[in-house]
Amino acid sequence: MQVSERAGTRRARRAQRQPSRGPRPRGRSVWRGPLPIVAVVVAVVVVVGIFVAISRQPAATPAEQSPVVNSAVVSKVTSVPASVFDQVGAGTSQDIIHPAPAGDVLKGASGKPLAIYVGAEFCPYCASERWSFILALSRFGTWNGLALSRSSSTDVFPNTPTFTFRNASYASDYLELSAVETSDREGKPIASMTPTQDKAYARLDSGQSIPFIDVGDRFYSVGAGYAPDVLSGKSWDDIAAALRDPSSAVAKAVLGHANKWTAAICAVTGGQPGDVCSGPAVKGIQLPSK
Amino acid sequence: MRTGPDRTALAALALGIAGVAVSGYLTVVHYGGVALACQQSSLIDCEAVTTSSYSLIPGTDLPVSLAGLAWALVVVGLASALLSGARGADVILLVWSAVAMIPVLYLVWAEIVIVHRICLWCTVFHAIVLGTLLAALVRLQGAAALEEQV
Repeated sequence: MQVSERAGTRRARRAQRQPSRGPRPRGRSVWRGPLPIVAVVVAVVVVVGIFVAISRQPAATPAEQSPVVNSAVVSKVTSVPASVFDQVGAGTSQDIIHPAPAGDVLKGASGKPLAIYVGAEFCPYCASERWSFILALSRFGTWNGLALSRSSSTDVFPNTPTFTFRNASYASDYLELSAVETSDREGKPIASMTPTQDKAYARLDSGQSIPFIDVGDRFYSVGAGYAPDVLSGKSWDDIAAALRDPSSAVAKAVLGHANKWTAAICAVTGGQPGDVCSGPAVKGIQLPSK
Repeated sequence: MRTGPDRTALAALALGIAGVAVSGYLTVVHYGGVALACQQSSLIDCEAVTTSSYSLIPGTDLPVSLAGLAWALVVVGLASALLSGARGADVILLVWSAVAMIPVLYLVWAEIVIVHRICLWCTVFHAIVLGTLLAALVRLQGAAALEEQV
């Protein structure tokens, strides 16, 4: 009440002082009326509409035709210098690696500790988790047949660049890998779990979610160690380059989580190989205990 | 005697309080590690949005909801100032809410284009920012119209 009365008095005084000013120019009338309000609302609707149109455009996905093995990219990704791992440490990754209930270390046919991966090509969280798992395992052995892939174009974090384990193999002096991609990028079943994978999955992954990783039945995780959007909009080459820059968001997420997997693997290989397991980043990681 | 501009100040106050409530809830959920009350569908997935890297202020570990909380508290302060007759607060409110539309549109872009999921709580907050902008605009229009009549 006081506000309008005070304002009215002021205006009345001003009007008395300036009686000959006359009506304001017509140009000011645009400011009045519904036009500014409508303009703001329409602008917001148009911008959101543009976002929706962009989101519906299919991404250029080299992996759409068929899984493509790109040795150059794989070589770049799996040869990140140890010094970069050490500079990143735990990085920005989340703590998703849990200790498994007590028991013997799970071993493969060769007697070496066995790591299990259960995932699917459509799954965006599998897409981000694979990067770290591939990098960690590459410090203990050699990958073959890793193909470029992207997560589903219609799921959350669409088209996240990654690799698929569908036709990949892994050789190491320290551990074995048993990996399965149960569905393709469209969600169509492409493989079933082996009895060993199924047993570990049923025992440790109560929610039956993917990605599921079990390292020697000592440590396991369900989900991803970092959000897939860290990788969004980037090519495999972009990511490979960013992995060599310890200050990049990609390196902090991917290598930080890879260091945690490396520490978990070292726990089942008896600290072998020494040059990997005695690195400052790996030694500095405190894995959860039972 | 209440006039139009006072009603817009009340609207801004209500929107500010609602903004404090929504952003406060999202901040508590972030730091408390509790699940968001949010129905999940093929389009709506609050968790996918609030756990993405876009839920953090770039270069920090602080949730964007904390910035939203600070913004809404300032709106409450500005609206209270308007109700108590402070001069110039309406222009500041207009600028404050217009500037807030920049991060709002950025976050809407992240939801629609990157994450492909909508967070309902975030959308409510975005609507509050837009509503505050419109309220500030209507209030200044009212003040300008009154001045022209005199």
